[in-house]
Amino acid sequence: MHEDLLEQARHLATRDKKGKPKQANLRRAVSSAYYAMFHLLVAEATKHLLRNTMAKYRSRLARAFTHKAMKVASKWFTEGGTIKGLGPVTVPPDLKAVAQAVLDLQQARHEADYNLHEPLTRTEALEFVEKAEQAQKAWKRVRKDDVSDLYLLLLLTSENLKERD
Amino acid sequence: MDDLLKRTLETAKAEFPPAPKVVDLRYRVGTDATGDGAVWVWVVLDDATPTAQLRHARFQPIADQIRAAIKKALREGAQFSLDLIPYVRFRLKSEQDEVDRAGAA
Repeated sequence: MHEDLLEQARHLATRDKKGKPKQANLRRAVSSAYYAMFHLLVAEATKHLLRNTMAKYRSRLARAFTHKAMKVASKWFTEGGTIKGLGPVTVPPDLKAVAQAVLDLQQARHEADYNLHEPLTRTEALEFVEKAEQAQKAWKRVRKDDVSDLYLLLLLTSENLKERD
Repeated sequence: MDDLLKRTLETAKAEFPPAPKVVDLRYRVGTDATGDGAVWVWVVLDDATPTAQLRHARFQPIADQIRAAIKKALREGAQFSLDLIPYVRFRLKSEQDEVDRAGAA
């Protein structure tokens, strides 16, 4: 799913080669780029948490992920990894790039879908698509890192973490 | 706040790599999609920028520099006690002109 969305994002962002690109194409490109990241990370998290006989529940658990919780977790990881209730963790550059992409693309997707007052430019749309492409490559490199497991878990739970006593 | 951000961006600009050529920096403070305080920064690039330089990889060092400078300024300007999420965007000059004509940022 995430690979198809990314391909769709690239296709839409580059579709109108001459003249002024259609706003609908640029806006859907940004939206698809964000959802490519969203579905990649949700799939990775549910795959990690639910294995073997529990795999059948993955798609249902996927519905529990919220944009807000994913944003909160991603913000922590872009800021050097001081996690509420857990303290500092070391964030490798590739994971930071993934978190930054989620943070940026989520806001960009919201604007692309709802802020029609401000035109979206081709340069912006292409950069968002490329950011998602680079982030997916970065994820492949960093997914086996222990701290990536923490990131995946926090994508689901970040809003419920309490400050340390 | 305006002064702080303006000074911060001017200082950051002096450290940008020579290419792609930055001709202007715009910013706006507001609230993002989930209600967090945020600052949007638009890096305006020369229209003559070669396509090969209009790449995320070339933009990233500039965006990183801007984000770091804003975070540092907000941390050190403690009187504001603000946590603004920086969103850094890139546009060509002609695209920015078009946005301006549309009456937006």
